[in-house]
Amino acid sequence: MPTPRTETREICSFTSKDWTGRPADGAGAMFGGFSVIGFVACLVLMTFTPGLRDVGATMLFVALFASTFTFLGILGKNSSERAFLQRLTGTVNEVVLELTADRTNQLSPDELRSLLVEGGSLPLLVNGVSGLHLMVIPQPSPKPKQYAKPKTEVVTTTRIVIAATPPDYGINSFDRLLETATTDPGFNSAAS
Amino acid sequence: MRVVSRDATPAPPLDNYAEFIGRLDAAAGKLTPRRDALAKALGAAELLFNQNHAGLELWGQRLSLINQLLARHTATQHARRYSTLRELHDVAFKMEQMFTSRTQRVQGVCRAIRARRDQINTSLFELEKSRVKLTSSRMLALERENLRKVANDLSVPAEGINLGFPDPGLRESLREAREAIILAEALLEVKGN
Repeated sequence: MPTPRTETREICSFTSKDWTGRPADGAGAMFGGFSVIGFVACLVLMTFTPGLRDVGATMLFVALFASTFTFLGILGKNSSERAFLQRLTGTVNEVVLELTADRTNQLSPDELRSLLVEGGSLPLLVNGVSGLHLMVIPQPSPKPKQYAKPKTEVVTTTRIVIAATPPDYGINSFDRLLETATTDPGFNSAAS
Repeated sequence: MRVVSRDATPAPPLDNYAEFIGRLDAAAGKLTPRRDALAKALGAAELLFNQNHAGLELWGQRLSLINQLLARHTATQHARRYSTLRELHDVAFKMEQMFTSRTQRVQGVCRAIRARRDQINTSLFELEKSRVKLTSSRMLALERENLRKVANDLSVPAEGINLGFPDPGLRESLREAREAIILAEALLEVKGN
Protein backbone atom coordinates (compact mmCIF):
# COMPACT_ATOMS: atom_id res chain seq x y z
CA MET A 1 0.00 0.00 0.00
CA PRO A 2 1.75 3.17 -1.09
CA THR A 3 1.56 5.93 1.44
CA PRO A 4 -0.36 8.94 0.19
CA ARG A 5 2.28 11.42 -0.76
CA THR A 6 1.80 14.81 -2.31
CA GLU A 7 4.05 15.34 -5.25
CA THR A 8 4.69 18.67 -6.87
CA ARG A 9 5.85 20.05 -10.17
CA GLU A 10 7.30 23.51 -10.23
CA ILE A 11 5.85 26.03 -12.65
CA CYS A 12 8.13 28.86 -11.81
CA SER A 13 10.01 30.35 -8.93
CA PHE A 14 11.19 33.79 -8.04
CA THR A 15 13.10 35.41 -5.23
CA SER A 16 12.12 38.19 -2.92
CA LYS A 17 14.39 40.40 -4.99
CA ASP A 18 11.99 40.06 -7.90
CA TRP A 19 8.79 40.48 -6.03
CA THR A 20 7.86 41.10 -2.41
CA GLY A 21 4.32 42.34 -2.71
CA ARG A 22 5.29 45.22 -0.48
CA PRO A 23 6.92 47.92 -2.58
CA ALA A 24 6.99 50.27 0.41
CA ASP A 25 9.36 47.94 2.25
CA GLY A 26 12.65 49.60 3.00
CA ALA A 27 11.13 53.03 2.59
CA GLY A 28 12.68 54.08 5.90
CA ALA A 29 16.17 53.15 4.79
CA MET A 30 15.56 54.82 1.45
CA PHE A 31 14.37 57.96 3.19
CA GLY A 32 17.47 57.97 5.39
CA GLY A 33 19.76 57.54 2.43
CA PHE A 34 18.13 60.31 0.48
CA SER A 35 18.27 62.55 3.56
CA VAL A 36 22.05 62.19 3.65
CA ILE A 37 22.31 62.86 -0.07
CA GLY A 38 19.97 65.81 0.31
CA PHE A 39 22.09 67.22 3.11
CA VAL A 40 25.25 66.96 1.02
CA ALA A 41 23.47 68.56 -1.91
CA CYS A 42 22.31 71.32 0.39
CA LEU A 43 25.87 71.93 1.60
CA VAL A 44 27.02 72.25 -2.00
CA LEU A 45 24.18 74.59 -2.84
CA MET A 46 24.99 76.73 0.19
CA THR A 47 28.17 77.89 -1.52
CA PHE A 48 26.08 79.42 -4.28
CA THR A 49 22.89 80.47 -2.55
CA PRO A 50 23.32 82.34 0.69
CA GLY A 51 19.61 81.89 1.40
CA LEU A 52 20.17 78.25 2.31
CA ARG A 53 22.69 79.03 5.03
CA ASP A 54 20.11 78.63 7.71
CA VAL A 55 19.09 75.70 9.88
CA GLY A 56 15.40 75.91 9.04
CA ALA A 57 15.94 76.23 5.32
CA THR A 58 18.39 73.33 5.36
CA MET A 59 15.98 71.09 7.22
CA LEU A 60 13.17 72.01 4.87
CA PHE A 61 15.33 71.34 1.85
CA VAL A 62 16.49 67.96 3.13
CA ALA A 63 12.99 66.90 4.07
CA LEU A 64 11.55 67.85 0.70
CA PHE A 65 14.43 66.28 -1.18
CA ALA A 66 14.24 62.99 0.68
CA SER A 67 10.45 62.77 0.51
CA THR A 68 10.35 63.42 -3.21
CA PHE A 69 12.98 60.88 -4.10
CA THR A 70 11.63 58.24 -1.74
CA PHE A 71 8.21 58.71 -3.25
CA LEU A 72 9.60 58.37 -6.74
CA GLY A 73 11.60 55.32 -5.73
CA ILE A 74 8.59 53.56 -4.29
CA LEU A 75 6.57 54.46 -7.35
CA GLY A 76 9.20 52.95 -9.61
CA LYS A 77 9.46 49.81 -7.52
CA ASN A 78 5.71 49.50 -7.48
CA SER A 79 5.42 49.60 -11.24
CA SER A 80 8.27 47.16 -11.74
CA GLU A 81 6.66 44.76 -9.27
CA ARG A 82 3.38 45.08 -11.05
CA ALA A 83 5.01 44.27 -14.36
CA PHE A 84 6.70 41.27 -12.80
CA LEU A 85 3.42 40.03 -11.38
CA GLN A 86 1.85 40.45 -14.78
CA ARG A 87 4.50 38.30 -16.40
CA LEU A 88 4.23 35.72 -13.63
CA THR A 89 0.50 35.54 -14.09
CA GLY A 90 0.99 34.98 -17.79
CA THR A 91 3.35 32.07 -17.18
CA VAL A 92 1.08 30.48 -14.60
CA ASN A 93 -2.00 30.97 -16.73
CA GLU A 94 -0.42 29.31 -19.71
CA VAL A 95 0.24 26.14 -17.74
CA VAL A 96 -3.18 26.24 -16.09
CA LEU A 97 -4.84 26.65 -19.45
CA GLU A 98 -3.02 23.65 -20.86
CA LEU A 99 -4.20 21.53 -17.97
CA THR A 100 -7.77 22.67 -17.58
CA ALA A 101 -8.47 23.72 -21.17
CA ASP A 102 -10.85 26.22 -19.64
CA ARG A 103 -10.48 29.93 -20.25
CA THR A 104 -12.71 30.79 -17.33
CA ASN A 105 -10.14 29.30 -15.00
CA GLN A 106 -7.56 31.95 -15.72
CA LEU A 107 -6.06 33.86 -12.86
CA SER A 108 -5.97 37.60 -12.71
CA PRO A 109 -2.86 39.28 -11.31
CA ASP A 110 -4.82 40.22 -8.20
CA GLU A 111 -5.85 36.63 -7.58
CA LEU A 112 -2.28 35.50 -7.98
CA ARG A 113 -1.18 38.21 -5.59
CA SER A 114 -3.58 37.05 -2.92
CA LEU A 115 -2.42 33.48 -3.50
CA LEU A 116 1.18 34.60 -3.09
CA VAL A 117 0.56 36.71 -0.03
CA GLU A 118 -1.94 34.58 1.83
CA GLY A 119 -0.94 31.15 0.59
CA GLY A 120 -3.58 28.52 0.17
CA SER A 121 -4.27 26.51 -2.91
CA LEU A 122 -6.45 26.58 -5.96
CA PRO A 123 -8.00 23.32 -7.16
CA LEU A 124 -7.61 22.51 -10.84
CA LEU A 125 -9.86 20.15 -12.71
CA VAL A 126 -8.14 18.19 -15.46
CA ASN A 127 -10.86 17.10 -17.85
CA GLY A 128 -13.19 16.84 -14.88
CA VAL A 129 -10.72 14.92 -12.70
CA SER A 130 -9.79 16.51 -9.41
CA GLY A 131 -6.52 16.06 -7.60
CA LEU A 132 -4.31 18.90 -8.76
CA HIS A 133 -3.82 22.12 -6.87
CA LEU A 134 -2.04 25.29 -7.71
CA MET A 135 0.03 26.14 -4.67
CA VAL A 136 2.62 28.60 -3.50
CA ILE A 137 5.51 27.30 -1.46
CA PRO A 138 7.62 29.94 0.20
CA GLN A 139 10.97 28.73 1.35
CA PRO A 140 14.13 30.29 2.68
CA SER A 141 16.80 30.27 0.06
CA PRO A 142 19.61 27.75 0.50
CA LYS A 143 22.19 28.84 3.03
CA PRO A 144 24.18 31.73 1.71
CA LYS A 145 27.77 30.96 0.94
CA GLN A 146 30.17 31.25 3.82
CA TYR A 147 32.04 34.19 2.43
CA ALA A 148 28.86 36.17 1.93
CA LYS A 149 28.18 38.77 4.55
CA PRO A 150 25.78 37.28 7.06
CA LYS A 151 24.24 40.66 7.68
CA THR A 152 22.68 40.95 4.28
CA GLU A 153 18.96 40.62 4.07
CA VAL A 154 17.71 37.06 3.74
CA VAL A 155 16.52 36.37 0.22
CA THR A 156 13.58 34.02 0.13
CA THR A 157 12.58 32.00 -2.85
CA THR A 158 8.96 31.43 -3.62
CA ARG A 159 7.96 28.52 -5.78
CA ILE A 160 4.68 28.31 -7.59
CA VAL A 161 3.92 24.66 -8.01
CA ILE A 162 1.20 22.30 -9.05
CA ALA A 163 0.71 19.74 -6.32
CA ALA A 164 -0.86 16.38 -6.90
CA THR A 165 -2.47 14.89 -3.82
CA PRO A 166 -3.39 11.26 -4.16
CA PRO A 167 -7.10 10.69 -3.70
CA ASP A 168 -8.30 8.54 -0.85
CA TYR A 169 -8.38 5.21 -2.57
CA GLY A 170 -10.58 3.68 0.12
CA ILE A 171 -8.55 0.50 -0.08
CA ASN A 172 -7.99 0.26 3.66
CA SER A 173 -11.65 0.22 4.58
CA PHE A 174 -12.39 -2.26 1.89
CA ASP A 175 -9.63 -4.59 3.02
CA ARG A 176 -10.90 -4.47 6.58
CA LEU A 177 -14.41 -5.32 5.47
CA LEU A 178 -13.12 -8.12 3.32
CA GLU A 179 -11.03 -9.44 6.19
CA THR A 180 -14.03 -9.51 8.51
CA ALA A 181 -16.03 -11.32 5.91
CA THR A 182 -13.38 -13.92 5.20
CA THR A 183 -12.28 -14.59 8.77
CA ASP A 184 -15.79 -15.53 9.70
CA PRO A 185 -15.65 -18.86 11.50
CA GLY A 186 -16.44 -21.65 9.13
CA PHE A 187 -15.40 -19.65 6.09
CA ASN A 188 -12.39 -21.74 5.24
CA SER A 189 -14.13 -25.02 5.69
CA ALA A 190 -16.82 -23.80 3.39
CA ALA A 191 -14.31 -22.61 0.90
CA SER A 192 -12.57 -25.93 0.60
CA MET B 1 10.29 32.10 -16.92
CA ARG B 2 10.16 34.24 -19.98
CA VAL B 3 12.85 33.66 -22.52
CA VAL B 4 14.62 36.83 -23.43
CA SER B 5 15.55 36.99 -27.07
CA ARG B 6 19.24 36.35 -27.30
CA ASP B 7 20.29 39.29 -29.41
CA ALA B 8 18.30 42.30 -28.38
CA THR B 9 20.17 44.54 -30.77
CA PRO B 10 19.67 43.21 -34.26
CA ALA B 11 22.57 43.62 -36.61
CA PRO B 12 22.11 46.26 -39.30
CA PRO B 13 20.43 44.68 -42.30
CA LEU B 14 23.48 44.44 -44.48
CA ASP B 15 21.94 41.58 -46.36
CA ASN B 16 18.59 39.92 -46.44
CA TYR B 17 20.09 36.87 -44.78
CA ALA B 18 20.08 38.73 -41.49
CA GLU B 19 16.43 39.58 -41.93
CA PHE B 20 15.49 35.99 -42.60
CA ILE B 21 17.53 34.71 -39.69
CA GLY B 22 15.90 37.32 -37.49
CA ARG B 23 12.51 36.12 -38.56
CA LEU B 24 13.43 32.53 -37.77
CA ASP B 25 14.70 33.56 -34.36
CA ALA B 26 11.53 35.46 -33.62
CA ALA B 27 9.42 32.45 -34.53
CA ALA B 28 11.53 30.17 -32.36
CA GLY B 29 11.42 32.67 -29.49
CA LYS B 30 7.65 32.63 -29.60
CA LEU B 31 7.44 28.86 -29.63
CA THR B 32 9.96 28.14 -26.88
CA PRO B 33 7.99 29.54 -23.90
CA ARG B 34 4.94 27.73 -25.15
CA ARG B 35 6.85 24.50 -25.22
CA ASP B 36 8.09 25.11 -21.67
CA ALA B 37 4.54 25.67 -20.47
CA LEU B 38 3.47 22.48 -22.18
CA ALA B 39 6.29 20.52 -20.58
CA LYS B 40 5.28 21.75 -17.12
CA ALA B 41 1.62 21.03 -17.71
CA LEU B 42 2.53 17.58 -18.93
CA GLY B 43 4.56 16.92 -15.79
CA ALA B 44 1.61 17.80 -13.58
CA ALA B 45 -0.85 15.83 -15.68
CA GLU B 46 1.42 12.81 -15.52
CA LEU B 47 1.48 13.01 -11.73
CA LEU B 48 -2.28 12.96 -11.71
CA PHE B 49 -2.32 10.11 -14.16
CA ASN B 50 0.08 8.03 -12.09
CA GLN B 51 -1.99 8.48 -8.97
CA ASN B 52 -5.21 7.51 -10.63
CA HIS B 53 -3.52 4.64 -12.35
CA ALA B 54 -2.27 3.41 -8.99
CA GLY B 55 -5.86 3.54 -7.72
CA LEU B 56 -7.01 1.62 -10.75
CA GLU B 57 -4.45 -1.10 -10.11
CA LEU B 58 -5.28 -1.36 -6.42
CA TRP B 59 -8.96 -1.77 -7.12
CA GLY B 60 -8.29 -4.11 -9.98
CA GLN B 61 -6.41 -6.38 -7.57
CA ARG B 62 -9.27 -6.28 -5.08
CA LEU B 63 -11.78 -7.02 -7.79
CA SER B 64 -9.96 -10.08 -9.06
CA LEU B 65 -9.44 -11.31 -5.49
CA ILE B 66 -13.10 -11.03 -4.69
CA ASN B 67 -13.99 -12.65 -7.98
CA GLN B 68 -11.88 -15.63 -6.95
CA LEU B 69 -13.57 -15.78 -3.57
CA LEU B 70 -16.98 -15.59 -5.16
CA ALA B 71 -16.16 -18.36 -7.56
CA ARG B 72 -15.41 -20.65 -4.64
CA HIS B 73 -18.82 -20.03 -3.11
CA THR B 74 -22.21 -20.81 -4.32
CA ALA B 75 -25.22 -18.80 -3.39
CA THR B 76 -27.07 -21.80 -2.12
CA GLN B 77 -24.43 -22.90 0.40
CA HIS B 78 -23.80 -19.77 2.44
CA ALA B 79 -26.38 -17.25 1.58
CA ARG B 80 -25.33 -14.65 4.16
CA ARG B 81 -21.62 -14.76 3.42
CA TYR B 82 -22.29 -14.83 -0.27
CA SER B 83 -24.36 -11.69 -0.11
CA THR B 84 -21.62 -9.92 1.85
CA LEU B 85 -19.07 -10.86 -0.75
CA ARG B 86 -21.45 -9.86 -3.48
CA GLU B 87 -21.83 -6.47 -1.88
CA LEU B 88 -18.08 -6.03 -1.61
CA HIS B 89 -17.74 -7.08 -5.20
CA ASP B 90 -20.15 -4.38 -6.24
CA VAL B 91 -18.17 -1.79 -4.34
CA ALA B 92 -14.90 -2.91 -5.86
CA PHE B 93 -16.45 -2.98 -9.30
CA LYS B 94 -17.79 0.53 -8.93
CA MET B 95 -14.47 1.83 -7.67
CA GLU B 96 -12.60 0.18 -10.47
CA GLN B 97 -14.95 1.73 -13.00
CA MET B 98 -14.49 5.11 -11.45
CA PHE B 99 -10.73 4.96 -11.52
CA THR B 100 -10.81 3.63 -15.06
CA SER B 101 -12.78 6.61 -16.23
CA ARG B 102 -10.57 9.03 -14.29
CA THR B 103 -7.45 7.44 -15.72
CA GLN B 104 -8.83 7.62 -19.22
CA ARG B 105 -9.82 11.24 -18.88
CA VAL B 106 -6.40 12.27 -17.62
CA GLN B 107 -4.73 10.16 -20.23
CA GLY B 108 -6.68 12.00 -22.89
CA VAL B 109 -5.34 15.29 -21.60
CA CYS B 110 -1.81 13.91 -21.43
CA ARG B 111 -2.05 12.70 -24.99
CA ALA B 112 -3.32 16.04 -26.25
CA ILE B 113 -0.54 17.92 -24.49
CA ARG B 114 2.07 15.51 -25.77
CA ALA B 115 0.79 15.85 -29.32
CA ARG B 116 1.00 19.61 -29.15
CA ARG B 117 4.45 19.45 -27.62
CA ASP B 118 5.69 17.14 -30.36
CA GLN B 119 4.29 19.47 -32.96
CA ILE B 120 6.15 22.38 -31.46
CA ASN B 121 9.33 20.37 -31.16
CA THR B 122 9.20 19.42 -34.82
CA SER B 123 8.61 23.00 -35.79
CA LEU B 124 11.49 24.20 -33.60
CA PHE B 125 13.77 21.61 -35.12
CA GLU B 126 12.86 22.73 -38.63
CA LEU B 127 13.48 26.33 -37.68
CA GLU B 128 16.88 25.49 -36.29
CA LYS B 129 17.76 23.52 -39.38
CA SER B 130 16.96 26.34 -41.76
CA ARG B 131 18.74 28.74 -39.44
CA VAL B 132 21.92 26.72 -39.70
CA LYS B 133 21.53 26.52 -43.46
CA LEU B 134 20.99 30.23 -43.80
CA THR B 135 23.88 31.07 -41.49
CA SER B 136 26.31 28.94 -43.43
CA SER B 137 25.24 30.28 -46.80
CA ARG B 138 25.45 33.80 -45.46
CA MET B 139 29.01 33.09 -44.38
CA LEU B 140 29.85 31.76 -47.81
CA ALA B 141 28.33 34.80 -49.43
CA LEU B 142 30.38 37.06 -47.21
CA GLU B 143 33.57 35.17 -48.04
CA ARG B 144 32.82 35.41 -51.70
CA GLU B 145 32.22 39.11 -51.36
CA ASN B 146 35.53 39.50 -49.54
CA LEU B 147 37.40 37.62 -52.21
CA ARG B 148 35.90 39.76 -54.90
CA LYS B 149 36.94 42.87 -53.05
CA VAL B 150 40.48 41.62 -52.60
CA ALA B 151 40.66 40.70 -56.24
CA ASN B 152 39.51 44.16 -57.24
CA ASP B 153 42.10 45.74 -54.97
CA LEU B 154 44.86 43.62 -56.39
CA SER B 155 44.07 44.10 -60.02
CA VAL B 156 46.18 46.89 -61.42
CA PRO B 157 45.93 48.47 -64.78
CA ALA B 158 48.50 46.73 -66.97
CA GLU B 159 50.33 49.84 -68.13
CA GLY B 160 50.61 51.31 -64.60
CA ILE B 161 53.24 48.85 -63.53
CA ASN B 162 55.79 49.64 -66.18
CA LEU B 163 55.96 53.35 -65.43
CA GLY B 164 58.09 53.73 -62.33
CA PHE B 165 58.42 50.09 -61.49
CA PRO B 166 60.29 47.90 -63.83
CA ASP B 167 59.67 44.82 -61.78
CA PRO B 168 58.69 41.74 -63.77
CA GLY B 169 58.46 39.60 -60.60
CA LEU B 170 55.67 41.69 -59.09
CA ARG B 171 53.51 41.45 -62.12
CA GLU B 172 53.88 37.70 -62.09
CA SER B 173 52.98 37.49 -58.37
CA LEU B 174 49.89 39.60 -58.84
CA ARG B 175 48.75 37.43 -61.63
CA GLU B 176 49.22 34.36 -59.48
CA ALA B 177 47.28 35.91 -56.64
CA ARG B 178 44.40 36.76 -58.92
CA GLU B 179 44.33 33.26 -60.25
CA ALA B 180 44.30 31.79 -56.76
CA ILE B 181 41.41 34.01 -55.79
CA ILE B 182 39.41 33.06 -58.82
CA LEU B 183 40.02 29.42 -58.06
CA ALA B 184 38.96 29.85 -54.44
CA GLU B 185 35.86 31.67 -55.54
CA ALA B 186 34.96 28.86 -57.86
CA LEU B 187 35.50 26.39 -55.06
CA LEU B 188 33.21 28.32 -52.76
CA GLU B 189 30.62 28.47 -55.45
CA VAL B 190 30.74 24.71 -55.83
CA LYS B 191 30.57 24.09 -52.10
CA GLY B 192 27.87 26.64 -51.50
CA ASN B 193 25.44 25.14 -53.91
